[in-house]
Amino acid sequence: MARTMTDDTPIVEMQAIKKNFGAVQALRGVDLTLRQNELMGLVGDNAAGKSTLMKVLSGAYIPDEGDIYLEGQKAHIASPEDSRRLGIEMLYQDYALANNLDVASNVFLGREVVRLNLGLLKVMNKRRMEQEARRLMDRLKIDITSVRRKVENLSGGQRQAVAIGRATAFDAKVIIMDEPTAALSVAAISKVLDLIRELKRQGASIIVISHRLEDIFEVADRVMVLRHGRKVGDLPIGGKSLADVRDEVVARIVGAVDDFASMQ
Amino acid sequence: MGGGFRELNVLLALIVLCGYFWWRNPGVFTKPANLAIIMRFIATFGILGIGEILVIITGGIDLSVGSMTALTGVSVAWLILKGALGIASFGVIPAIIVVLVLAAGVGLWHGFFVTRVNVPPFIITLGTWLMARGAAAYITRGYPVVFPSGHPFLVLGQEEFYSIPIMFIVLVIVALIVAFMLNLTTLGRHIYAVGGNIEAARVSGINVNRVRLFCYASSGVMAGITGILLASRLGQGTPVVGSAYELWAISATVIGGTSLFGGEGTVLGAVLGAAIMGVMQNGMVLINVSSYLQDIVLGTVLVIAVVYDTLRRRRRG
Repeated sequence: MARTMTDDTPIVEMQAIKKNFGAVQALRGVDLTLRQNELMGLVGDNAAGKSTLMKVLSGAYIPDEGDIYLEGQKAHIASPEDSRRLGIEMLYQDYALANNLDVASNVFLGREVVRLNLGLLKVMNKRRMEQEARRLMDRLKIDITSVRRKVENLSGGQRQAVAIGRATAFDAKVIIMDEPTAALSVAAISKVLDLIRELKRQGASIIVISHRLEDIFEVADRVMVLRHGRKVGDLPIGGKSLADVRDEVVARIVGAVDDFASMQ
Repeated sequence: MGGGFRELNVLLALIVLCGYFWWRNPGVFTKPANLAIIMRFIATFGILGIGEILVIITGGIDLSVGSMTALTGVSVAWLILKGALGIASFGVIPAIIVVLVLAAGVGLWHGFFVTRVNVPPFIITLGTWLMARGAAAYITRGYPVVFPSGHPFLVLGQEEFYSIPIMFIVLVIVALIVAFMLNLTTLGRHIYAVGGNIEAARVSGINVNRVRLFCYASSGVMAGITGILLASRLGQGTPVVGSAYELWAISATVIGGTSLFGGEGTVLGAVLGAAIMGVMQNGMVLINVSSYLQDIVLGTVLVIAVVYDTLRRRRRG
């Protein structure tokens, strides 16, 4: 079913997504709505299904049941390449960058700018990639002295910034981040959060998976809570205190409150 | 990619070594005939080393290349002199092409097991290390296949062009092609990416298995080229050639700054590493160092290179 696109058509709509791994029901019919230019936090205990749901959206997993709509159009996502082509970028927790390559090489990894195609051998346009990587770093206010620096010589925060910048380099409409602030120092976390806000300001729609509720509180418009493969909460954040948000979210994570219990 | 600095160090060491041996034995060291000997040594281990770095950068290793020089050397001699498949004798060029295709096939065999069956590269190439030498001896019943003197095939290994051995010219051509590929093309970048972080490479849309297959096939081809050149140099295809050459080639790449952990290594480093070993070996002969002591010295140089590299890595964190 195709629907007409309006300003309030969600950029992503996932409907009744189910995914089983053998006897384990990882997702038991999850709905997700992400609006244009919205920043949504996705939380839940371990094995609640957060990463599985995002891997369905990014094409790493194929759902057993359920539909995905992008800007109102039904989307067929069967591989990471499909989702990337549709403008969805997933930022992985651990293995985002090749540390032995420089920043520009990482930004363009797998989609190098080619100057001359000799069949098996495709000659890269290195200068163009360096210029564009530089421009990207400047646009996102990422503090890197040179895009020719190897990633292994960067700090943890800088690496995460490069990884995020890389995900946004190719006009991604939807950016999914899996624990972007894990394993970072406090100073680095605040820089990464600034960067996420900057991405939103520049028009991206973003889903952030995080264990750190204070990070979600700082940057997100809304937080969705999963528990045992079901959505149990979907709360706006604006206008509330961190303590209130924390109480509400934790109550749903641990199962004391379930907003969608009647819909089972 | 290799950070140039390391190669500069190795180049300086090479210059110092050359100066030392020239000072100790000025009459002989710089004679064209002696320089040709060194250049042939560099060609042998430089070409093997270039194949080896491609595999090592992706985090693998190829232990088969020494035995492969024997198998390919015997094969090329056999095809040219005795023929096969009902053909009495292959021409030199067709024989070379057939042998290089065969060598690429052996490399693909390694790559298949590494990428599809997840066999450790060390083991699968160790299997070929035995099998290739066994096959070389089996084909010839252990005897060498000897070319008559003046055979056109012998030009490759024995002739010189303005005092530069053809073998060395082959090395230069191979080095330029592979350096171009590694530094300027997407394939080269993907090879480094696979060695740096194979998962990141995979989620970036790089076909990591195809990249690794290419590297193992290339290493096979380099062993084939070397085997052909050695057969020409020796005037025979013999199953005993190239014993332990894989270890010499790997040593040369390590001296030249290649990391056995993967992700790092350059063509220039591999060639300079081979040059260091060639100059040292030759120079020590010229100044009458006992051949037993020569091995101790070369082993020490290898250890120093590895320790230096490990410390540098640790400092960098």
